[in-house]
Amino acid sequence: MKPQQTLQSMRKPLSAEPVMTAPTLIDENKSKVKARLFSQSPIVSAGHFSNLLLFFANRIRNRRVFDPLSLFSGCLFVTGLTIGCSSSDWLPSFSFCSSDSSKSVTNEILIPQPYRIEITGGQYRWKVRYPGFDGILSTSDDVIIGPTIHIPEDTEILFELKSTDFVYLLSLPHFHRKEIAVPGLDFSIKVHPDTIGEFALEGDDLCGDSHPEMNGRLIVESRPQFESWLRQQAVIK
Amino acid sequence: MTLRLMPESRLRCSTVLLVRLSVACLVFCAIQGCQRQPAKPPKVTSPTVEKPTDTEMGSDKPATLPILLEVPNFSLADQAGKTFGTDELKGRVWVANFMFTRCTATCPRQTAKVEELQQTVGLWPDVDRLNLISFTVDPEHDTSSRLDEYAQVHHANPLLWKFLTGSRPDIWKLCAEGFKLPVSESVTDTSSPITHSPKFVLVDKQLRIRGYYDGLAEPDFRKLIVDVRSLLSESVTDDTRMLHVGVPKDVFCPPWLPQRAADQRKQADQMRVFHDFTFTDEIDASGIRFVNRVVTDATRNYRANHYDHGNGISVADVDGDGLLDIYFVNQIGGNELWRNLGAGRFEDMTQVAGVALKGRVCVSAAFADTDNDGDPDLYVTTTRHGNAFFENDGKGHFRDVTEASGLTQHAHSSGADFFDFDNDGRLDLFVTNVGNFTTDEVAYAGDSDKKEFPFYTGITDSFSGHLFPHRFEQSVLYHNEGGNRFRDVSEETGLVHRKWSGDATPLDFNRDGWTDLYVVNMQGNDDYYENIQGQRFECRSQEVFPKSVWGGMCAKSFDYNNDGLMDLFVTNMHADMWKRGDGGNLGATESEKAPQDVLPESLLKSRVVGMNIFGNGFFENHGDKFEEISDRINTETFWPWGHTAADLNADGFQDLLVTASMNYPFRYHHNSLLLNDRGTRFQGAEFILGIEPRRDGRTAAPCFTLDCAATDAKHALCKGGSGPITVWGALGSRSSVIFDLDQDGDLDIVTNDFNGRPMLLLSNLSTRNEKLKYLKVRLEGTRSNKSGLGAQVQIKADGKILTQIQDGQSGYLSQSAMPLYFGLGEANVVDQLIVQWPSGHRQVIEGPIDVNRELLIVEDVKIAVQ
Repeated sequence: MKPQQTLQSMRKPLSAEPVMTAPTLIDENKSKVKARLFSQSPIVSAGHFSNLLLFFANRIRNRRVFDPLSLFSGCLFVTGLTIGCSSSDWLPSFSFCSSDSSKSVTNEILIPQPYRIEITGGQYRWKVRYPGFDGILSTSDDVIIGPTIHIPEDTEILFELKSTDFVYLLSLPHFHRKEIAVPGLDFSIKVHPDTIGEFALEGDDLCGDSHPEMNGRLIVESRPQFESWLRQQAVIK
Repeated sequence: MTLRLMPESRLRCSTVLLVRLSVACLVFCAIQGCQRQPAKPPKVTSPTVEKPTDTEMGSDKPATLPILLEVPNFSLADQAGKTFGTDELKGRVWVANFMFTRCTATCPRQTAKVEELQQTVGLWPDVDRLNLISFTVDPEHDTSSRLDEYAQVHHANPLLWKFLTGSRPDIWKLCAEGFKLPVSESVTDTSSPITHSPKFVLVDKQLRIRGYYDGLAEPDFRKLIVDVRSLLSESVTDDTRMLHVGVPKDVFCPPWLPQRAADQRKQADQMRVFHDFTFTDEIDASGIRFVNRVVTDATRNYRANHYDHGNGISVADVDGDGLLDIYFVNQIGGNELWRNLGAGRFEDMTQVAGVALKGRVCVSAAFADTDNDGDPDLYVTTTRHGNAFFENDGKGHFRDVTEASGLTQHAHSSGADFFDFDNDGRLDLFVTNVGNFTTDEVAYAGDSDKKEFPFYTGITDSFSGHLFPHRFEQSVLYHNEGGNRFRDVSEETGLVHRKWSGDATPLDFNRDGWTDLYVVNMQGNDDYYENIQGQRFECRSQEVFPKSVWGGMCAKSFDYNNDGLMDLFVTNMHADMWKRGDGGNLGATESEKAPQDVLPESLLKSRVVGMNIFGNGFFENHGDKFEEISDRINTETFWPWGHTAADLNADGFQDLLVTASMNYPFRYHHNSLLLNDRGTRFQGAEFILGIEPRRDGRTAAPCFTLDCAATDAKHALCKGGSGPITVWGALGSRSSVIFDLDQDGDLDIVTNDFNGRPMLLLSNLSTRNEKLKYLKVRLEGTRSNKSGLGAQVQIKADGKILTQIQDGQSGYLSQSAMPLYFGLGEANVVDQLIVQWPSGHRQVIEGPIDVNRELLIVEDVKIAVQ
């Protein structure tokens, strides 16, 4: 697991030269998840246990103690007696596990740690991309919404900031975090919300007019609430 | 239907709506008429409030005012006795108030406020679509002729300000039922027989009430002005006439500006520094017709990039007639050289001089005698259009010798500075390059069919340019090889400067006889290069300036406290860039520094985290180190670009003029004139000395026009509009040069404004102060470079030692060739004058030296001093 890097480029330390966006990095991450999945056999459990399990796994992860259980947190899980999986293209024989199944609201939502959420500035608006059901960004079940962001509490969240045109500034005053979004470069903000509530999210294009539509809210909610919200978004999608 | 101005949040709109609603409802209770006694409010039904229709696409909500009530039709008589009513007012914006001439309570104050309003709106381009209406509630007494007398006393413009009279029942009904404002007979006070509301009411082009204001309370009055402006910019469906739109919407009438002016003027009496003189903008009388024009990246197709840095202004006596001529640099349309005819008059000599560079987007200019033949030569930088170098024939005819000189450069060049870094008697050149902030797409600022005025459009993310190593453009140090031949010696001397830079200033900071260089970085911390024996440069920024300006614009060194040591002033707009104004527009209304964490470190790349200065930096030279004292000596200013140090009041201490303002689409900021209070601190005096308000009180100028019905329908500013609109943007100066342009012994100011006409501010100090004492010193090197650049002049007079360096640094992006000007306070003679030449020669001239003249000092040559 990567060490915590707040307020800096996710994949490169500050002192290094900025890197261009490399989609292959995402693929690498994905393959890691796949590898983990492969090393595990599907687990059958009662639905309500899965949250508990995730919670437990997260706690362990946060304490930086390696435990095989933590590997589960990055993927899978089952609702009732249904076998679920996370990868869109893994085990194609389970047709109900493919990305298309993300439309099914019965599927469990995977929340790996850190939970990556992509925020892209463009034409004075933020586009927020969630990993969808599979917990992995840039797959077909991603959920894309506007400037109000929901996140689950007690989860390490990694906002990945991008821009398609101008230089933007994103501030989360409650978390004392501020970061830029620049076309072609990767920046990120890491937060670990421990309080449920609604907080300000302020956006601006640097050295230009004010764009109130870039101001949104950051809503921290309980894991079940968050999941139900995300599920709704996925249905809307 | 409304035009989109600056977007405001929905929250704000709804708040405004609520506030207005409550105003409308509460107005019945808040009676402050001619009598203190409250009258019984008339019975009224609640005003019907209609949500303004919003026809725009998207979520950009304009700052709309609620529609409160319809004004019923009326027809009355004006002060000329002519019929005037709703028929005449349809399609116009108007402000109504109720008064009567016999009233001695609030009416005089109301009328004074309307007079003030008339003065403000009188400057607006669309004032002909506006009326101020004063209804008399005492029509039996206030006949048309009585009102006419009253109107004349209050300087009412009869086309704009109407006083209406008619029958009492009609007017009272209109007041109570139409405007829902109370009016009644006074029961108790016999001296003031009528009680009425002193509110001001704003009515739109469709005769709908859009707001009630307590015109006697300053904040509400300011809000009224802003709202009038905003209504004037609202189009109506059938409106085909030109609409004038201010961006931001308060650009015609910055609400904070009058207050600031009043506050400063109040302090004038307490100022101990001499300020009993003024400047007057005489650009019209001067004959100068130059207009600065800019690329469309800074106007209709606005995108934030470095084209907004504008242009320099340089002076030199190009034709050897003893008078300093002015060279205005321009982005679009060509540069202009104006010959000084004396007495404040100028004529255009661009054609004969051959220095227009029409078709190139130019940035800065530097005059200096590079071939030591006794006349100033000229170097001009451009944005990717090729820098140019001109040799002067001594009569003001310039020959382009760029190619032969080796100074060819096609980069995003910015400032250029001549100085002799190796003291070989020939002037070398440092050219700062910004970095690549343009694309390869060519747009035309003129007629695109004729391919008129091409420029490379800017990239959209230029303010992160310093995060991309491949966008850097190295600045260049050229060595003068003689005969106007130059050679790039950047690598050879170790002056490898790859930063996002705009300007530089040469100065011998460590006083070892070798001129060092301070480079201002617009996106990063500034750099200081120490000159090691004229052989190489060593970057010692951190050591010498541990606390460093981040994102500076302009640097200029001068001795502010007459201790013989050169201090350094660096302007930096980053204190203003992080603040949002009322309209959501960037720019502070108070001058103060920004906090360290204003921007994330990933963008700042600070040299040392926590050691940045976001705002102006003033570094006092203690001999062995520099101390940052800007706040202590009060040199923080509004959105500054460049500055010039000069002794404007000739009291022996150099003052500062800081040019400012960002132009479209940002709010207006005023230039600052900081008077030096005997070397202790600076005091803002721009409003006291006539620098502000600008000519005719203007803060805005037409920036571009849009045809919303056709070609520009998709432009963001055309949202909701259908006809032609003229968009007005803030005025703003970029650079300035200070010299005695009319040879009357005091210092005058000429600016180069961004996308507008320059200001030529003539000082009347010589007439206000009969005891004015000064000495101008012109240097001519023999062993040193002929321009004397790098020479230090010290004057002993009246027990004071005044020190100046001949560096030609005046304003942003500019280098001039002009004599030094020493204000002498009350000294009648100069006791001693010492020139420390760059050759190492120290020339001492013993006094008494006669004052109030120009003294030519030739290196090694004894001169007559009396």
